[in-house]
Amino acid sequence: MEAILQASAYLGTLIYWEALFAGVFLSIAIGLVPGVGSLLVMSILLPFIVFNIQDPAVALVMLAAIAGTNNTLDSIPAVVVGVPSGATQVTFLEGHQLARQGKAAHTLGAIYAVSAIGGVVGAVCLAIIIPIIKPFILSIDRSEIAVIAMFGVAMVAVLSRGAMIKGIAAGLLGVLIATAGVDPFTGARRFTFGQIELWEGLPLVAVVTGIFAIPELIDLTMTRSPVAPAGAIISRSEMFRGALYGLKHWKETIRQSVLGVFLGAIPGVGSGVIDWLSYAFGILCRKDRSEFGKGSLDGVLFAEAAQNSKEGGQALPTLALGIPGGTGWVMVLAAMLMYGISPGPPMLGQHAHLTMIIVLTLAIGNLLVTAIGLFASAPLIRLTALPYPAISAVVIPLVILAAFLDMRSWFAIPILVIFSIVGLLMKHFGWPRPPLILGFILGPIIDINMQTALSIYGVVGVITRPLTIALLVLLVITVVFFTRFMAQAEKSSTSAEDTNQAKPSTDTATPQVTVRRFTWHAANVVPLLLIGGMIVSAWVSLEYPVKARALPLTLSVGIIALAVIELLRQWFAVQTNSGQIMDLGMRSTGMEGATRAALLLGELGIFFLFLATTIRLDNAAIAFAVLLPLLLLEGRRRWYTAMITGSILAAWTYGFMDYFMAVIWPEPVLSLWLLGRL
Amino acid sequence: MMSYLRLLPAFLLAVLVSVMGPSIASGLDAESHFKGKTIRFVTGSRPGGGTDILLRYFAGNWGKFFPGNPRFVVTNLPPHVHGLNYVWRSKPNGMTVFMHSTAVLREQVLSQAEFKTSQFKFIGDIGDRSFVMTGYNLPINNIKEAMGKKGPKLKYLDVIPSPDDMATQAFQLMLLADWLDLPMEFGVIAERGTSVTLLEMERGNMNVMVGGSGRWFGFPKLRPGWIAKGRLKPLLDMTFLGQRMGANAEFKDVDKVPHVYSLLNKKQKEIWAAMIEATQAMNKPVVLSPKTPDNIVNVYRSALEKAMADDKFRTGIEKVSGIPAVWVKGPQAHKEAQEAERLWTAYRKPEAKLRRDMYNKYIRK
Repeated sequence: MEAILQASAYLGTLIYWEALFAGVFLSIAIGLVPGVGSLLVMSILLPFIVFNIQDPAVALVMLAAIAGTNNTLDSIPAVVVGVPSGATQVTFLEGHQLARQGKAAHTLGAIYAVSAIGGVVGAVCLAIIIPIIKPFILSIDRSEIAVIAMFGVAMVAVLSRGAMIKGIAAGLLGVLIATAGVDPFTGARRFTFGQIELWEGLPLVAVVTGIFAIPELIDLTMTRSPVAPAGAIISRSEMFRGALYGLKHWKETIRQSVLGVFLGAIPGVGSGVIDWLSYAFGILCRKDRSEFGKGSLDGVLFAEAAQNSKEGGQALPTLALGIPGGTGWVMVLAAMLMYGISPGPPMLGQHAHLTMIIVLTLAIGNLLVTAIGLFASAPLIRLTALPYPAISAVVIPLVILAAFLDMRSWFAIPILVIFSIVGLLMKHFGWPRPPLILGFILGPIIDINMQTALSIYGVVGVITRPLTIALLVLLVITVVFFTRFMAQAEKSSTSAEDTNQAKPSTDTATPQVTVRRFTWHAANVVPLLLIGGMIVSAWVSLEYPVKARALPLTLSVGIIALAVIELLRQWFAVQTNSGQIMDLGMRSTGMEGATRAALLLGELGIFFLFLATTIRLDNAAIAFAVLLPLLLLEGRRRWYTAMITGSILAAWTYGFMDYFMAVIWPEPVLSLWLLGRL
Repeated sequence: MMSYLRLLPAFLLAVLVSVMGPSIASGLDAESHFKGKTIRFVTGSRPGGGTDILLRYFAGNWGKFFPGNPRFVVTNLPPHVHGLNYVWRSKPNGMTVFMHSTAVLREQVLSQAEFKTSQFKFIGDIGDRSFVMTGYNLPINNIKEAMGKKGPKLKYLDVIPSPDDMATQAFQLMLLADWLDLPMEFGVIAERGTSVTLLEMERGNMNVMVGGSGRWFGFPKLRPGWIAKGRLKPLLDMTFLGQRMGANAEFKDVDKVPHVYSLLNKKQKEIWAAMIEATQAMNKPVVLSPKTPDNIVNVYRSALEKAMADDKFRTGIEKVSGIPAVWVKGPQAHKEAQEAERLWTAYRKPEAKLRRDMYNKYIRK
């Protein structure tokens, strides 16, 4: 009680609010600007904070605000412009479809409301659970973490609805590409092709951007129209209506938030997993699941509630055991140690007031971000009413720079290009992309934790752990449940289609493939490419030691088998259409063939033009030279709008990335070659 | 399509402008060489780690000890060998400097390494070099009490993917287990670090660990009372080159902890020096690229000397890293690196064999 009073006393001081606002505004910047993570910003700030702020409570307020409140406004890029981050993939999958329906304001309002509830639930749980959390954290060992991650794999069944074979193949492909890098159990450098930059695996930002964002940007730009249809309600009052919707669902939000707290409290379960698991759990709890994957607001809310509450969960091992629960909390722990504050029992004793200050900061900070979102994000939502070329002219350079900044290597560019092509092909030919990302995120968690558990306990030891057994039983039940759900959904989707032939969807439906005898079709290109790629992958895998090759080889063979089945289905099936898949379809599909091809070439040209200029990006002139014509010609913007936008991007490139971050730009190979200086 | 062709002149203009960048200054007048410049401070560690935080402290505070007060900007280039290669290839103009998280030599074993440790220009080595083996919840007071016994089992987890890639700490514990007949068990994990180690200890999956000064001096803060109450005990002093570990806030009787040298015979000591100490003996070496002119190297060495003589700067190091702000001067660090490389090179073949033997004995079984 004394600690609560002591902590509350801080609320009456100006310095508390200054620190809180500073932290919240930085977290907003982190959420809105692609490529700038909380860990990077906090590690830059930490020495400054520790040596300039005498009172540790004030420093912890600022750092906890950055670590604990950056999961709300990061939804804006995912919903409004279709650019997800590592932790907003569900929000993108469901939320961007809602934005396409003209419901961006409503969706964001609802997200803000559940994020606030999630943040407060996380803070309250932190306060209540911290004295008793230690046995829970210690009882969840490696094998249990692997099984928890397997729950996400069950989601592949759901995410593959309408295209089961494609979905499973995509999921396996995700796991396969996640094997790239140094295998920690054999030391083999898998799929690194002699590049040190790939030792740590493929970068999440470049992969997610390539698979999701770039195809979306190109597709929408080709339509030349805004994200939202004409007449969409884009107003603050619509946002408030959305918030009201979120508040009305408080019971479900609290349920999802509590799940988020527990998942966040387990060290090793990453943020990228939590929104998928929360989404899966939410679907599991629903009777009517037909809406998910087609732009379900509830689906967004399931993920967002847990995303915000997990910060309270991640604070638990940080404060109770000195084990950072998440990336941002690494820096909070580092700051505590620098101030001489020990985690563990002291956080409930002599430093209990600091624990309570962090609790209050998480709660108030999340409410503050929500308020800022509700009152200040309307201009950003209006972007959905702008012709998309005007948006992509700015966003394409930004996402390329984000991938570059994340990896700190020019290697991010080819990775981005490759995954953009993969994403574009998948999107165009109706292969669901979410299972690929899910496999990419979950694969290593399952593999590493299970292999470690086997090393520590042996096979018998693992399969006789009571908690592992209980979770495995629950997993089997879930998989059976999801498979039945998938079958039912597919059945209902097909019957709905039969009765609704006159109204074909060009948005989320897979391309109609009604081949009745053997014939070549453009859609064959994906399984053929997969088969070719997997033969190469299997061939390359053979070079690795037996233990290191087992997983990639098995996955390659499995994908080949699935691709062959899919190819045969496409060639010989009487009717291979599979209704709606859980992904965003091509919006430009309805356009006339020649126009579409010309536009696609044009967009790819712009994309590669910018990529080419990144070969010497440390010059602000590039941003102007590329952006101005783009905005003037493509975006039909006025010259001064183009100038202002160009200046902002140039300032970002030259000021932040070049001067402040001293990004290592690629060598000016192209320009040197052009001037004969090589 | 025509509209896209209209972008071509703009693109060519951009390319033209881009090649007209400023050329790098040459010739050295220390003040003008560094004034208004940005020095890239590289590390192979990821953002947020101990080395990264110490580096950022240096980046924010070291510049004022240089003529011209240059600005430092931190660049993380993991893995370590990537960062080292970058500095090795960098222009020798003093605008790129590197801080490693342990001895540079350890990375030289990798086929991708382009550098030779002894050819870097050493500015200094920051931090205390204590290296200690500790036991958690064990009924023994030091490692001697476990020698030749069947139990209690000493359980250790580390990154041990293959004989060549196994972490040096794992290799050194295998050598000790073999030489001293210790009841040790080894397990393989995918990641390492203090957090992972503490978590695995509290889960009961491991009960011995080895670590440098960051861990040894950090324990009283990270787990207050553990050492004082005997829950965590220093079992063996493994500080390099026969030096003694330092006393931390909860443990002062460092002389009572046996030193590894006292338990090894002459041949074993030789192997230990070449295979274990050579690759780990430094703490956080600061280096410049190999062809950096001596006058620039001297500016750096002088700046480090001034900084380490400054109470405020040293207090800052202790605050951010938790370790005593001691250091080894550049020429001495360079000598140590040369000697370490000589020894290590001489023992490369026997080391490979010994690593395989240890791996087969304790991991493959």
